[in-house]
Amino acid sequence: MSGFPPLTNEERAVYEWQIWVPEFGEAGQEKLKDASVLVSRCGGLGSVVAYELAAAGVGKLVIAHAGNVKPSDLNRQLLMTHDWLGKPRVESAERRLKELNPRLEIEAIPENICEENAEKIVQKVDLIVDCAPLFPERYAMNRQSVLQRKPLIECAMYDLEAQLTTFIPGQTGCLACLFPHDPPAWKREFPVFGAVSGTVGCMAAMEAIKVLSGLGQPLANQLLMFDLRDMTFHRNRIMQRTECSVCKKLEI
Amino acid sequence: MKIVVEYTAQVKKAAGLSREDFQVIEGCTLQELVKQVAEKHDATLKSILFPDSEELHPSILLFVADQQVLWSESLTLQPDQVVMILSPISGG
Ligand SMILES: [Zn+2]
Repeated sequence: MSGFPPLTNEERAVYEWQIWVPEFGEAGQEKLKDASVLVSRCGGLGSVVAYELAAAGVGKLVIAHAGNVKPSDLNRQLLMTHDWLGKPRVESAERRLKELNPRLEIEAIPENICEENAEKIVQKVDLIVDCAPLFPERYAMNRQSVLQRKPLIECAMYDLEAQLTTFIPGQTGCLACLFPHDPPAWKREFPVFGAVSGTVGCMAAMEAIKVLSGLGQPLANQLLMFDLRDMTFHRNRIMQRTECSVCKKLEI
Repeated sequence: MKIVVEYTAQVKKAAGLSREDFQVIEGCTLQELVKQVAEKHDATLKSILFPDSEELHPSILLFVADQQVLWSESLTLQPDQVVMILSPISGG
């Protein structure tokens, strides 16, 4: 007995092909079923993260994203649909995720993460996938990741480039170790193809699946960077700062 | 000696290319190289790397041979090493 909720026959049928993955198996699937993940926001990146995690059979998703669907969302935010223009993004996202996986438990929050709501929202989940377009949102999630000791998958893109790493409290540094100060040059609007945000979204979803199920080696203490303009990939060692104002001060 | 410098994101955009070779003197430190990089290019790159002082902006990361190195560390470069100058991105 694994101690996790057993799979139903329907779940065994749906997840059969990934249960074949060596070292994952039915035990890995049971861990995903028992897991809950926050995806914030559900834009170009988060839409794909949430869709892949729903497809993979994660038990519960908490999705957070404010605002209504705009025409300029539709080149990349794959959970938003044309017929939902002008209506809340999280409603469109919830509907699409349920179409794919009706067994999925979803909590759709029509807010972006901020210092005020981060604690309560992070309390609902086991793991966070950070897909926010602004550093203050990212720092709010990072703080709660450290305080609540929950893994944080950090993924981001710009133009045809992307950066990805996985922070595991107690084993790695945190986002404030990597970027101690809010980068001044960053703007909310950025050039993006959906295929770029989708690529890094799939990778971030795979990191979440690995951390939750114990499969493979997550990108702990490493930063993956790639540029799809010329297909260069780098994986570099990153450090925990001994004087970090977040993980060195808050960790118990 | 030759050092290969690679750029990412906004730093790459400001430099106008993704990698280039630098000829530096034997014993050149990482700090000296980064200052040389800023001097070689136009003012946009310098304003990202050194916006208001002789200190590298803290959001810019440096990697030497795939390993992060802090600006405050005094590191002497070795011939043919690859140095990456990374600017943070947050697109979601
Ligand atoms: Zn830290």
